[in-house]
Amino acid sequence: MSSQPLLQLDNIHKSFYGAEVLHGVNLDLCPGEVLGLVGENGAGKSTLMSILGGVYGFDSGTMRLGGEVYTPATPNDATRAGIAFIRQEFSLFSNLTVAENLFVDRFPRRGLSVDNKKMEERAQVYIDLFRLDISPRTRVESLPMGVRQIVEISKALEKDAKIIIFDEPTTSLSPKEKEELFEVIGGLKARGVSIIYISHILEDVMRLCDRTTVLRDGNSVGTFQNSALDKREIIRLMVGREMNQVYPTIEKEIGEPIYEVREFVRSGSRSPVSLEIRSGEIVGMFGLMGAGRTELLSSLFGAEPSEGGEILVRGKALTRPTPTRCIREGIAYVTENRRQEGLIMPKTIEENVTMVVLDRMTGALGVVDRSREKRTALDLVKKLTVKTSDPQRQFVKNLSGGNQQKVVIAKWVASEPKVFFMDEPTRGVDVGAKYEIYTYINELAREGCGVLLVSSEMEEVMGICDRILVMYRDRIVADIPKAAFDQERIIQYALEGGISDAG
Amino acid sequence: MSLKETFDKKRVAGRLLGSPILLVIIAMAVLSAAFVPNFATLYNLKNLLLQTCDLLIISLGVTFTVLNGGLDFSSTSVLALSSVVGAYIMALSPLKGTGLSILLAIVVMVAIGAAVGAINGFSVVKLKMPSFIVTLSTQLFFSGMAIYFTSKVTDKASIMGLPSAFYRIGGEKAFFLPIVIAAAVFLVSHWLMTRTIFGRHVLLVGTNPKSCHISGINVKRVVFLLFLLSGIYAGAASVVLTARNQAGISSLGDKMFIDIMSSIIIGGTSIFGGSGGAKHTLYGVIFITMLSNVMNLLGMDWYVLSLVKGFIVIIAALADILSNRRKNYAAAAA
Amino acid sequence: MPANQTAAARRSSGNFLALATKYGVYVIFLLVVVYFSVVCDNFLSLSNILNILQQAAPLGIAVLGMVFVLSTASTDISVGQVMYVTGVICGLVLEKFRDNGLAGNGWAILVVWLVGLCIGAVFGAFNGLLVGKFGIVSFIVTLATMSIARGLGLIISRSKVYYMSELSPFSQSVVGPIRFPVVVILQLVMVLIFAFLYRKTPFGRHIDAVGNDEAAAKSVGINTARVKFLAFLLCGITASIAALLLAGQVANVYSSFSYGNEFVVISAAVLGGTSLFGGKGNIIPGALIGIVLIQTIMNGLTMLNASPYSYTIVKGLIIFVAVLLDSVNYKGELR
Repeated sequence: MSSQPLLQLDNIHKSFYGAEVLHGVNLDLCPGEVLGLVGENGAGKSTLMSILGGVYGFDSGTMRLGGEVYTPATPNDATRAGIAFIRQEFSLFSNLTVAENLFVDRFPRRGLSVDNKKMEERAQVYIDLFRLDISPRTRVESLPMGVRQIVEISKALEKDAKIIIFDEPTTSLSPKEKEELFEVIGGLKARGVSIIYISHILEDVMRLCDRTTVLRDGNSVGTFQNSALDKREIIRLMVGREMNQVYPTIEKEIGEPIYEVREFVRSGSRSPVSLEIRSGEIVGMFGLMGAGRTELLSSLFGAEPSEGGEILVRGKALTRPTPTRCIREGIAYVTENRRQEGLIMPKTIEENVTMVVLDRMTGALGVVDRSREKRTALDLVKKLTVKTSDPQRQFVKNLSGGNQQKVVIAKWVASEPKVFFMDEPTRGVDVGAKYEIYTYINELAREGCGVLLVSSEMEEVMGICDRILVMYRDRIVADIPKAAFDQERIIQYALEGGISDAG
Repeated sequence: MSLKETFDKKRVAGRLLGSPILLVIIAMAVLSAAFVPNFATLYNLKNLLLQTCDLLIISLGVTFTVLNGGLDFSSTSVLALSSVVGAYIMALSPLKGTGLSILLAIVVMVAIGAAVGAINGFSVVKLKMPSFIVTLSTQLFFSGMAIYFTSKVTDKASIMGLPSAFYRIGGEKAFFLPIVIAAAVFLVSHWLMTRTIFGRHVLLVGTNPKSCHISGINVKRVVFLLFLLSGIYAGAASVVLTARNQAGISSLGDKMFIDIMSSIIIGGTSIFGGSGGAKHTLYGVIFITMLSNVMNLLGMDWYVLSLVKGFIVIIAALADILSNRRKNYAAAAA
Repeated sequence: MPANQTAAARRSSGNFLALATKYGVYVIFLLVVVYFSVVCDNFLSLSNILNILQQAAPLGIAVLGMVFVLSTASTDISVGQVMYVTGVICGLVLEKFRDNGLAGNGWAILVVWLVGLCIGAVFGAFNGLLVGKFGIVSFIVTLATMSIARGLGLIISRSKVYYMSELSPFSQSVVGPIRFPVVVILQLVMVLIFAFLYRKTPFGRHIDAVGNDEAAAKSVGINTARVKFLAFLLCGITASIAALLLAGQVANVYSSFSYGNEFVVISAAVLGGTSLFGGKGNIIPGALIGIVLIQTIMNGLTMLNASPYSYTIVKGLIIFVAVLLDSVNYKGELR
C-alpha cells in the first residue's frame, strides 16, 4: 500500500433544498486498497457516492483523484476517470449476451459488423479470470445473480476502472456466490484496483476491508484500520449520537390487539412472520434496506401476493387479503413511494383525498355526491393542515413533499381506519411537516388506531413508537418494548439478526 | 362542471381561451358560412348535424378506451357486423317486416357490440394482451364475419328492404330522432364520466393504475367495462347508421376509424390516458365533421380528407406531448 | 430479489406454457400441413410448395423490417398502405415510361425500383422521426401515416388500375430444373442481410438493448432516437420492396392493392417468435416460418374453395393467437 492516496475527499459539504446532508466528509482511498464504508441508513453514504459518480455536484470541499482535482459533472466523466459502480440493481440488458453487455455502449467493429471474435475473446478473458463456467455467448437472462454481478464487474474492468465502488453487493447473492464475490474482490485488489465496499454486513466489512470509514448523520466519524477495530466498536461509532430531536408526546391508552398476523408468508419469501398491534399502539418496524419490511407490508395489504398465514382484524379473520378487502376491514396503507403509488400526481388534491372513499359518497346510479366530496376534502385538508388555496383546483404535483405526504395520510384518514400501515411516512419531508405528521400519528393512536410504522430512521422509531420490531432478512428478529429501547441493541439486531458476542 | 356553470356567461370567454379547438370551430363555421358555397344552406346544415351524430356516438365509446391509454380499433367492425345482422333480422328472417323484428334487431345490434367489447375487455384484462393489437385482430375477425355473413344470406353487397319505420331512427320523416339519440348518448357519457364513481375511476386508473389498485379500486373491472362500453356504443352507432343508410352494409365504417381517432385526439383527450372526456370528443367530432363537410363542398374527395386527417392526428398528438401532460406523467413515474 | 424468486417459481409451474410459446408455432404449422395434405390432393406437390413460397416472398421481405420495428418495442401499422402508395406511384412512373415507349428498357425498370424504394424510405423516415425524435406512441403515428398513405395513393390514382406487367418478368421468373422462384432467392438474400444487421452489427444489438430497456439504453449512451428512426426507415424500405415484387406478381395495382397487409406482416413476425413487447426478434427462422405458415393457410383455404370472405376471419384469428402466445408472460399495465 502506497502512502499517496489515489482518491482524496476533503471536507465535502452538500445541501439539498437548503438542508445540509453532508457536513464536511473526509475520505481517502489508497491504490490497491479495499476500504469499507459503513453507516446507518441516511448517514450520507449514497449521497457521497453519487457525488463521486458525478450524479450530484457538491457545495464545498475538494476531491482529488491521483493528485489532480476531480470534479465530475456527469456520470460519464466519472466513468472516464476510471470510477465504476456495482449496484444492487444491475444495468445489464437481459436479452443480450455476456460479451455484448460488456461492450454495449461502444462495440468493437470490424468493417460493418460487430467484432464478435474480439468481443468474445475479451469476454473470455474475464470468464477465465473469474473462473466462470459460461460461454461469452450466454444471454444474461439465463445467468444467476452472482454471475450477473461478475459480468458487471468485468464491464467495469473493461472500461479500465481504477476504482470500483460496491454498494451492498451481496444483497441478492447466495452464500456461495458471496464467497465467490469475495474471491473476485481479492483478485481485483491483487491487480491494483482500489475498492470502496459499502455494506451493512459488518462481518463482511471486517473480513474484506483493510480500513473502514464510518459515517454518521452526514459526518465522517473517522477512518480506522480494521485490525484495530472490532464490530461492537463500529456499531458504537455508527449510532453514537444524542437524541436531540424533540418528538411530540401524548396521553393515550393501549388496549386490546386489533390486528394480528400469524405465520404469514409473502410470495418470494420463505420466512413466516407473526406480529400483533394493539389499539392505540404505535409499533415501529426497523430494519436495513432490503430487510423485507416494505414487501411484508405490501403483501399484508394484498397489493403483492402472499402464500398463506392467518390475519385477524379485530378478531375477525381476513383471508386472502386484497386492498379492497383490507380497506373494508379498516386498514390503511401509506406506501413508501408516494409519487408512484401513494398519489396520482396530475390530479387535484380533492380527487386524491377522496379516491379511497369515493364509493361511500356515492348514491343511486353511482352518482358521486359532489358537495359531500368537497366537504370531506376541505375537512381533511384542514385537519392535516395541508397548505393549499383550493383543494378542488390545486394539483398534487405542485405541492411540497411534506404537503404531498399529508395528502396521502388524509386520503387514508378519510376511510376512518382502525389499523394504519405507514411506510417511511416522513421521507423527503421538511422538519416542520415532520413534526406535524408525528403529532398526527399520535392523535390517531389516541383515538384508538393501531399504527405499524416502517422507518429506516432509528431516531424516529425510538422517538414515537411504543414498541419496535426489528426485521432482518424477512424475519422479525426482535420485539423491543419502549423501556428497553437501546440504539446499539436495535442496530445490532438489524445488522445481524441476533445478539452475538462474536466480533 | 354543471350545466349551469357551463353556460355561465362569465365563464364562456375563459372557456374559449382554454379550448383552442372551440375557437377554431367557430372561426371555421363563420368563414365557411361566408365563403363556402352551399355551406349555410338548410340542407347542408341538416346533413352536417346528422353526420356529427353518427360519428359522435361511436367516438364517445372509443374515448373510454383512449382514457385508459389504449384504443379500440374493433368498433368499426361492430358497425358492420351489427348492421348486417340487424338488417338480416328485419329484412330476411322469418320475423321480417314486423315491429317485433325492429325491436329484436336493435337489441341484437347492441348486444353484438357488447359481446365484441367483452371479448376485447377479457383479452386485455385476463389475457394481458395490448389493446391496440387485440382490437386490430377482433376488427379483422368481425369485419370478416360481417362480409361472410352477408355473402351467406344474400348475393348482393348489402341487405336492403328494411321496414320503413326503422328508417326514422336515421332521421327520415323524423329529422330530430338521431339528434335526440346522439344528444342523449352524449349527455349520458358526459354524466358518466364527470358525475359517477365509474367516470372518476376511469380517469384515475388511466393516469396511475398502480396507485388505484392500492387504494382499493378494482382496476381490472374498470378496464373491462371501458371496452364493454366501447362495444355497446359502437352497436348503438350501428343502429343509427344502418337506419340512415336504409340497408345493412358489410363495409359500414370501413374508413371511419381515422375520423374517430382524429376526433378524439384533436378534441384534447390525451393518448397517454387519464385526461379528456365526452366534451372533448364532442368538440373533436364537430371539428372533423365540419372539416369533412367543407372540403366536400369545395369539391375535394374523401381521400384528400384521409390525407388531411392523418396529419391532424399527428399534429394533435404532438400538441398532446407538448402540452406538458407527458412531462407531468413522466414526473409522476420518476 | 423477490421478483426473481417469483419468476423462478412461475417458471417451474409454467414449463408447459414456455414450451407452448416456444414451439407452438411449429406444432400449428405441422398440423396445418398435415390437415391440408389430407384434404387436398395437390397440396404437397412440389409445384404447390414452390407456389406458396413464391407468394409468401414479397411480404416475407416486409416482415424483416417489421421485426426490427417490433424489436424496439414499437409497431408499424402503416405497412399495407405504404405498399399501396408505393405501387401507385411506381405504376404512374411506369405508365409515363410506357407512354414514351420506354417501359421495356432495363434502366426504366431500375428507375421505377429506385422511385419505389425512395417512397418507402420517406414514409419510414417520417414514422421514425415522429416515434424516435418526438416520442409519439408508434401505433398512433403509424395510424396517421396509414391514412396519409392511403389518401395520397388515391389522390394520385383516382382509383384507377395501373398495369405493372413490366415488373412481372422478375417477380415471376424461376431458375433451375425445379423452377425455383427468383423472388424466394431474393427473399433469402434479404433474410441473410437482415439477420446480419440484427445479429452482428452495433445497430442491431442496439435495437435489442432499446427494446429491452429504453431508459437503460439511453443511460449507457445509446442514441435511442436514431435506433428507432433507422428501424422504421428499414421497415418502410422493406415494405416498398414488397410492394414492387407483389405488384409484379399480380401484374397490376388496383385500389385495394395490399389492403390489410399490415396485419399479415405483423402476425407473421409475431408468429415467428418476435415479441410485440420488444427486445426479442427472430429472423432465422422466425421471419421465414411466420409468413410461410400464413401463406400456407391461405393457399390451403383456396384449394378447399373456401369462401374468399372467410380469409379475413382467419387472418383475424391468426393475429389473435400469435399475440396471445406472446402475451402469456407479460406483466405490465393493462392498456
